[in-house]
Amino acid sequence: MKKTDVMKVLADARPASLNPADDSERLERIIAGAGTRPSKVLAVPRRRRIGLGWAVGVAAAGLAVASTLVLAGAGNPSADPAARGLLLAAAEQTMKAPTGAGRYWHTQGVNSGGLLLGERQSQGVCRDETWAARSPKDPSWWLVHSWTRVEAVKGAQPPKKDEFSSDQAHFTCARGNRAVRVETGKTPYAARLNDFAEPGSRWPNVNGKAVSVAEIEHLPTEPEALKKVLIQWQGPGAMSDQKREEILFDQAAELLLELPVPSRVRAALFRLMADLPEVRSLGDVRDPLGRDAVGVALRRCEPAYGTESQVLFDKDTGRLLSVGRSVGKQGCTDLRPAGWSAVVESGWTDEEPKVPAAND
Amino acid sequence: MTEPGPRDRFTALYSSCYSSVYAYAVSRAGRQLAEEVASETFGVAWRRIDDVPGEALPWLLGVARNILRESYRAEARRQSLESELAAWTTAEEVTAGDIAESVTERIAVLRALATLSDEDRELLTLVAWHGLRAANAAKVVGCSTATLFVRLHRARRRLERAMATEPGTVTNPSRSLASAKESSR
Repeated sequence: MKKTDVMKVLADARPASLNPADDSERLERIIAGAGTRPSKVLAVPRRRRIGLGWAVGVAAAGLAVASTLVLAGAGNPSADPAARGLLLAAAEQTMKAPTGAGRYWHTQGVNSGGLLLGERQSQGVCRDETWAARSPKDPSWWLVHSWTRVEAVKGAQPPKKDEFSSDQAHFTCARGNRAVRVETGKTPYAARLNDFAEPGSRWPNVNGKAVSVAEIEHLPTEPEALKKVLIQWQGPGAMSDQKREEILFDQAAELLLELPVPSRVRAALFRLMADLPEVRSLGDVRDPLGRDAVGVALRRCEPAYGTESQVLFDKDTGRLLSVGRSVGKQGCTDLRPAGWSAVVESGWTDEEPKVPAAND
Repeated sequence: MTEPGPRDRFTALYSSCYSSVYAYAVSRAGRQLAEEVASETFGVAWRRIDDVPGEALPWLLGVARNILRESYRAEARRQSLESELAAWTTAEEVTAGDIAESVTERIAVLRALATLSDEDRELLTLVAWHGLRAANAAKVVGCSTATLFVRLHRARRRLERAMATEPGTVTNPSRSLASAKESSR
């Protein structure tokens, strides 16, 4: 029998050094040092749901992918040889590209997709830039240069500052696993990404797991070791082989899309995808921006829903061109494009992002 | 006057929570880094003042935790923390106006605390020193309340065991920190 409660003893032993010194100027210093004024808008990358997906949208015009799909045979133990061939070739080409160096990993992008909003769904194009700082002490930025306007209420008034609710209409941009919506479509719009706000919603993240640039740069260059780290990133818990495969595919797509992954790791990501049994070739396609591409896809077809993730890349260089996602409500029989993100240009740079002073 | 602006809300947040955030930072990274970590945490809160929930402390500690994890080299944090843990059991920290018996007990519990893993120490101090209820402590460390109860129970048992075996001699804090980490795996 315990004579004393150890938690009470511990509480009583709270050291005096835990008390901060009086400093009447600290508050002002914090505000002066915080950099930007408070922002009303929210850009929160969230853990993407495996399954129904984060964005359900109406069909976007001009997406060439959906019509060229080959139906995936369920339970096939070996990877589609055509997909494997494309991915291994991409791995080979990727090794030849220098990784480069700099303060920011800069990606210029174009996206389509958005948030489900009441009865109506947003879908449309936005152009953006992502500046991922190498040092966690530097801010990382998401700059939006054009928006898609979304009306939730038919005939909603065009947004006017302070006079409207974003539930009626707003502007939105969705890239990778993050999305933002704002009331006024002023551009350029800037959202700081690595703001440490909200546990579990930080950036960079890979399928919701917060990681540092250093961790990304030190990922293993062998597919099996890489697979192990990526599965670890998803945390403990039992997972079916199918789900593990889906997660690995999505993680690879997110890493290739806009995170500062060295060439040798990029090559390993392609090789890792080549080893996933359910991956299927899309063959020669055009990407959403009309560029010649080859692609692979991974489907999950359940009675109540279906999803497909696509990764399109350049055959000659292995450069990632776009990632996309389709969703269906009746297995994979009614898959429709739900969103895509394309890379126009990406790489390390010492240039500084041009961040507007404030958003409002 | 109309409803308080961001500046007033931030001032209220600072007044009510700064000392707790600072205390958390000291217990995780030592006083050398605590001021910087706490200031950076409130810098985030200022930029995100509209996102700060009504019950702000768990949110703030979560932000501080992220900053500690991502902005500081593990080695710098470990060194600063080690000198902090060692300082807690020196005479001037513990004796101020106390009777001898409780001083002995305090030194014993603080020494035992120093031998535990980072994870155990964080959970125990979140509850005992920073006044968080289990549900809020779970928010800070990002697990379910049920999981937190289990982890807290185990941490508490390890603390009791460490107190029982504490020889009362001055141990090398760095060595005991490292071995505690290994054995907790």
